[in-house]
Amino acid sequence: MTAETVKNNCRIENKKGNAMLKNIKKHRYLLLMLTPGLLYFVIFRYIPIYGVLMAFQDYSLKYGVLGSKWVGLKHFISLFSGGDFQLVLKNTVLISFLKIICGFPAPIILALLFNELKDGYYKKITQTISYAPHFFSWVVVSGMLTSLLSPSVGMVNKIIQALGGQPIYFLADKNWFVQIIIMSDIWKEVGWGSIIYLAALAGINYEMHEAAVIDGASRIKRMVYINIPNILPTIATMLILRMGSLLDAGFDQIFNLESVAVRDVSDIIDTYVYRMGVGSFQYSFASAAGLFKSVIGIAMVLLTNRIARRLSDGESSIW
Amino acid sequence: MVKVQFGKGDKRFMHKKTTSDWVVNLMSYSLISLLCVTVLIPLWNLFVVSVSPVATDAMTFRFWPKAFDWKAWQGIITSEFIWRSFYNTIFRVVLGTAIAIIMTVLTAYPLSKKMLPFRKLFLIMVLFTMLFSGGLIPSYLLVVNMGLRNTIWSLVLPIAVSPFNVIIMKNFFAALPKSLEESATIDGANDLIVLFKIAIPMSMPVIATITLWLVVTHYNAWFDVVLYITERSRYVLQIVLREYQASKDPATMNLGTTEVVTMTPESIRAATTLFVMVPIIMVYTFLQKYFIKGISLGAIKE
Repeated sequence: MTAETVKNNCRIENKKGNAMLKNIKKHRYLLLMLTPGLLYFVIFRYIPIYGVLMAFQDYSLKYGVLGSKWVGLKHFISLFSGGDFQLVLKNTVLISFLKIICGFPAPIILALLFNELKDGYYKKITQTISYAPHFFSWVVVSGMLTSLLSPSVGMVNKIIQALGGQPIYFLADKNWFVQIIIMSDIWKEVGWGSIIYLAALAGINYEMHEAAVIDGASRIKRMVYINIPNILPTIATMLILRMGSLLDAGFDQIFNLESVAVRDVSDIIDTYVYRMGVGSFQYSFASAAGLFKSVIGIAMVLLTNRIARRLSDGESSIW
Repeated sequence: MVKVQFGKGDKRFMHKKTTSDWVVNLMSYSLISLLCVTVLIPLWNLFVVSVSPVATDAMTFRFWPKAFDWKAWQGIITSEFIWRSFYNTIFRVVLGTAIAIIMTVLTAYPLSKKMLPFRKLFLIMVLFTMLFSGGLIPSYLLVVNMGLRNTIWSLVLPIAVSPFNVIIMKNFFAALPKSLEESATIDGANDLIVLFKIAIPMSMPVIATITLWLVVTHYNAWFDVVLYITERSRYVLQIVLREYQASKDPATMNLGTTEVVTMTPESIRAATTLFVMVPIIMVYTFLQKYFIKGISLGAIKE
């Protein structure tokens, strides 16, 4: 604590109100700097949070949140009694779970493999290439995928035909769509996701490996007994962050790849909210679906963080 | 590039190769090569399709194009629609990034000062938005009700400050050595002067990283354009590409050539996809170390 803090604390004890004013005056430039940012948060983050009250109303554009009629849980009841949303929820959880189960370990494995490469051009170049897809938008990746998977001109179907098979319309086939979603998601993010684990691997104490080598441990053994245990806290932290977005099944990706033909398996909460709200102007109903998602999201973060703190004595919780 | 020390290359680990070494090498080199091939093949495929615009050529698969026919490329390079969209993209990238980085610095710096009145309240205000948001519809209605539709502000203001970036930058400011700022204050400099003359110059690494992230975010953004922009003259490249993907007829694609009748829509789509990719690939390849640096910045826990 600086001398200034102590002095200020004393002042606050002596004359509270006066000191507060003095403190504000002293830091007026800091407060001035903060004003645009605070205004941003109030307008673009907190007004929408207040606006979510429309989920409990029959919102009309004319009257706004202040003047619209309150209807209680009407929209939530119709959300969960109609078959639509149950299917949407099922798709969301299914796609998201598959993405976690298949996609979460992928960057960890890749990082462990990168870690075994000799430093040099090969490593540099392969890292650069594998990180690149992270920087493409899903619009671009969807352009790439439609070209690659097109039943008439796509490379994949040409190969299938050359091998004597029938062309498959991957993106319009309910049996294939979810698999394409999962695979393309891993493809896009696996490289970039590995960076954080590579950093954790680089931080492992050198002496552990040295001692293991002297004891005759093979590289596989060192990978399993040194590398993996040492990056476990990072893995736990990343898993918490991932669980918080359990109901984020990947709006950008699905919105760009879906079509009516696969809607039974592709429709997720976010695409549903967009279609109901922006598409069919059912603002209150769509907000209810969105609010449900936000509440589950915050609950998941709090829950997984608490579990992680219990398990690791605070080491891998995010706060 | 992240430095990793415990690979095979480390001289201190040189010893006789065992079976285990061979297995590890085989696995890592082959799997990583395979991954890179899956990244490169789709890009090459796009290129092959883009230079095979005539329908009869496109129907048979070739790893190497039969002939390099640049008609599809000519079509998009000479299209006024494409270049106006490109200009719109650049405009939103420059304006959006400039506003966002200024706002982020101005928000983060005061929050890094322990003496700031109401600091805790302000911090909680920022952090809470990372956990909870109003969702799509209330934000959408806010922008619409503010009358921002079909203006550049609908694309710039709603994402002007990211709480993640504020926290990263706040932590960086807080970790700067205090002595310089203190001596400047004793010499009579106020907080504004300290920020611009001392704190910002010392924070250029983190400012560069966040700037690059913002550039990529704005370049790749498309959903806000779907929501708020209806005038075609205000489209950005990503939206043009989306439109082309839905379009079956090259004649409706606003190309700069009249030879469209002989072209497949696939070749134009492929050329446009590559056209949209090129700037981001260039930015990423030349500046990748700044992108990667930022990852470890984000890992600081308060």
